[in-house]
Order: sequence, then structure tokens, then C-alpha cells
Amino acid sequence: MNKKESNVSDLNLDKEELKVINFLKEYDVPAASKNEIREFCDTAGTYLPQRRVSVWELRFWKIAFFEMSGKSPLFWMCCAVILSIGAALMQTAMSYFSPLMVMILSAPVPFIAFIIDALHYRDPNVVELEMTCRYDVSQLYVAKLLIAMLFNIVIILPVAFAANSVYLDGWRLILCVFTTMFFIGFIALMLIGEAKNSLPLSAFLALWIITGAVVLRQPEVVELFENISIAALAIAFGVSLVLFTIKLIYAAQHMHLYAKTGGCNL
Amino acid sequence: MKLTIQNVMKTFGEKRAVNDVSLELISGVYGLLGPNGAGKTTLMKLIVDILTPSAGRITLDGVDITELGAAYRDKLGYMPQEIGVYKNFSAKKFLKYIAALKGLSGREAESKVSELLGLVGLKDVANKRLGGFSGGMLRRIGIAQTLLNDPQILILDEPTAGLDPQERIRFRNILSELSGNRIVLISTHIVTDMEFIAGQIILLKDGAVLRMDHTENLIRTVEGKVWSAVLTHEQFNSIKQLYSIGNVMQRSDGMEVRIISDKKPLEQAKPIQPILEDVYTYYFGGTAK
Repeated sequence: MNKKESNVSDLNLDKEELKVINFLKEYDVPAASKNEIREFCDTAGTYLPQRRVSVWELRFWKIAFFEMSGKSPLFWMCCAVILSIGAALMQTAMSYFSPLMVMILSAPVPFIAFIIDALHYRDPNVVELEMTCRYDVSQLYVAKLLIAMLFNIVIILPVAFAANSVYLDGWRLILCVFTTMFFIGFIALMLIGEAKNSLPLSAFLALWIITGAVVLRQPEVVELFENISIAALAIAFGVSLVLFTIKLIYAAQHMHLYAKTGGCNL
Repeated sequence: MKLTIQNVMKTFGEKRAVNDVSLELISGVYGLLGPNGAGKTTLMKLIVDILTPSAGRITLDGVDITELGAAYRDKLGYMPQEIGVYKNFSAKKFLKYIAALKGLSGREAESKVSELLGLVGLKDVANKRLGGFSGGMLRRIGIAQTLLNDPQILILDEPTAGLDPQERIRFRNILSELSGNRIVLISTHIVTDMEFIAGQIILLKDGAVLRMDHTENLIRTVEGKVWSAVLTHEQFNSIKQLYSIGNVMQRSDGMEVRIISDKKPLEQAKPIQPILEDVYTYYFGGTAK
């Protein structure tokens, strides 16, 4: 019995395995080098079923970098204005406007401005190229919209903290800001689904600022917001968050399906 | 590597854009020829998995491309008819963005983008915004993005449209260099481009494959059917109602006309050597032959 055979008998193999080993002994199987085996595995690996690759495999900061570095000066000016409001709130207890109302008004503006900027510079046909790349396009657009919302939060949080220094009901402020942010974000996403360019969203932003500035200055409206219970605000926040999340996923899939069903330049 | 299209059909409502197409593509350059609305773009979108077939299936080496998913797209380079870009991105940044989506690492992307910008002659404007680019320059960006991942399957929809003659020659040469050991499917309305690039031609009409053959064999099918005659304006007006007409050239003594016809169309007509344009006119040029 040679060394190889003794090794085989040492292993506690069942009958079927021994049958295979004996069967293979009839053939001269050339030994493959490690490199050859690795090369074969690499080649075979490319044929393994692998549906859509999750976009989260692509680092989130990479998408954020591409998204943020292409923003226009107008967008950055819009963000600067919002931050200036925060600075102004910190300096003075703005007697003319209620800090709560100012925060409600400015809460969704960075998100809408972000999307307007993106739609303005985006050619709808670009989705065709994105669909032929390795990552899931729906997830890519979810990631992009999430970046827009995260950016909104990053911009609005310092302003909210500034407002909190002159407006003492912190929870009310935070809940009002986030509820408005998600609810107006939900409406903005609804408009994206219908629109082919940034015009309806720009009109909506203008309408929000003008009517908001008029309505939110009314004493009755201010009083209404001051007196809503925190529990009711928490429920409103929950509802707006759910609506925004559902719409975000739908909007991203819609962009994907738009091309998949033949909407793009057939 | 073998890309197989098996009885593929694609319908949009009542319209059947691709009708029972079956093809087998191995390494080589294939030209897709057909009139507007023949289904070329739809067929290409099916092959790159942007559209889903209504019936039939597309496989790579026997595995359905929808099953292969990312593994298939890693081998794919696609240039759509209309290049979509982010107009606020520079050429370099856009290519890096596509490179990231194709799964290239930062270092790989950096060198590949630089190499490809040089290849398509856009190195000088690498940092300029795409919003200011001409149609021809955008097509060159389209060509560059196609090659980022060194694809084994290249699908190019009208790649030479909008390019000037020099750019077209440059593109044809790039493609000739790349074509070895790859599957290249290219559609163009510029038949002369096809003659230079494609080894085999697929004729597509009303969503169905009319014929697929080597360029020289296709040209042979119209041998003895291409005629040249010098005609007056009146003769030309009456003859164009009866026959498919190819190239027309003004001369001092009248109009030199290429006529495609199974029989000798006129007494003065002389048989001439066909070219690929005549094949196009013969198969798609009108009802009268």
C-alpha cells in the first residue's frame, strides 16, 4: 500500500466516496498549480448567477462626493441663506417672526433646492448608461435622494439649535422641523414622478416660500402650532416619515422602470 | 464566448418592435442595418438588459443574461443613441462617475479615464463642463465611457452620428483595434462606415431579421441587379416611380443614376459592381425593384 492509499484508508470515508476515489484512479488527472486553479475559479466566478449588485457595496461617500461636488453656485447660495437665518436667530430673538415659524418655513428648502439642481443638470437618458453598470439603479437613486435628505438635515440642524437658543420648547421645534421636512419632501417626490424637468418643483418651492411667509405670520396660525400637543406632533412626524420613505422608494423605482418599460427614446 | 438571442420578441402595446429574432453572435464585429423604426435600438436595449423581452431569451454561453446580472454587465459596454450626461460634471468627473458605477477602483479609474480621454482626443477639455460640449464631443465621451471596463461585449447604437469625417476615421480605427476576441454589435445609418468596420451584417426590417451574412456575401446577392444610366430630368422623374434608386450624381450631360433592379431597367443602362449601399437600397429602398 503506497502512501496515498494509506492516507485514503485513514480517512473515515463512506462507500460512495471510496467508489468515486477508485473510479478516479483509473484516469490520469494532471495536477494543476495553485495559479491555474485560481485562474479557473476567477473565470468560472464571472459566470455565477449574481442578479443586481447592491449599491451599498459601492461606498456611500463616493456617491455623495459625486453628488455634492457638482452642485451649482445658486444651490450653495440657497444653503448660505438658510445658515444666515440661523446666525440671525442666534443674534436676535426675532420679534417680527416666530422662530418656530421661520424653522418650519426653511426646513425643507435645502432638500427641494438639491433636487431642483440635480434635475436641472441631469439628462434623462443618463439612466440608460447607469442601468448598464453593475449596481442596482433603483438603489442608486434611493441613495442619491437619501444624500439630499441627509444634507438637508445637516444644514437645518445647526439652524434648529440656533433657534432653540431663543425658542425654549425644543421638542416642539425639532418635531415641527422634521415633520415639515419629510412631508414637504414627500410632496416634492410626488412632483418628480410627474415632471420631466425642474420647473414644477421650482414653482412649488417659490409657492411654499411665498404662501408660507404670509400664512405663518398670521397670529392664529402661530398660536395653533404653539398649542398642538407633543403627542399629536409625534404622530404627524411618524406619518410624514412613513409617507416620505414609501415615496422615496417608489420614486427611485419609477426612474428605473421608466427606462425598463420603454419610456426612454425608443 | 457566445451571445445567443433566442426567439426574442418585444411589444409596446399593439406595436411589435422586435419580432421573433434569433441570432448567434461570437467574437467579431456585426453591423445592424435597417431603416428607421426597424427595431435596431429596441434590439440593442434588449441585449444590454435595459428592456425585458416580451418573449424569448438572451443567453451568454448558455446562461440567461438576467440571471448573470452584474456578471454580465461587467462584460458589457453600451453606447446609446442619445448620450445622457450630467451637464454640470466635467468630462473627467463624468467618466470617473461611470467608472465607479462599473466597479473600477479609484486608481484604476484614474488611469483608465486619462487613457481614454487621450484616445478620443478630449484630454485638453477634460476639466470642462459637459454642458458646453458639442454633439460630436458628447459622442466621443460616449465612446470613452463604453470602454472604461475593457468590455468583452460592445453594443454601439449610432456611434458615428454627429462625428466629422476625421473623427469617424479615428473611431473606425479604434474599433478595428478593439474588435479582436470581442463581440461588437454596431448600428449606423452611415453604410460606408459599416463596410469598413463590420465583418457580418444583420439586416433588420419591421423588427425581424431579414438576412445575416458576411458583407461580401451580401454584396454578392445584388450582383447583376445594380445598373448605371445617364438620364435627363424627365427620364429620372419617371424612372424613380418604377425602381429603387441608389446614388444620383449631377453631370454636365444629365444625371448619373444607380438603379437597383432585377431586370435591365433601360436600354442605355449598364451593369455595375455593387457596393454595400446598393444592398441597403435593394432590401430597404422601396417596393419597386
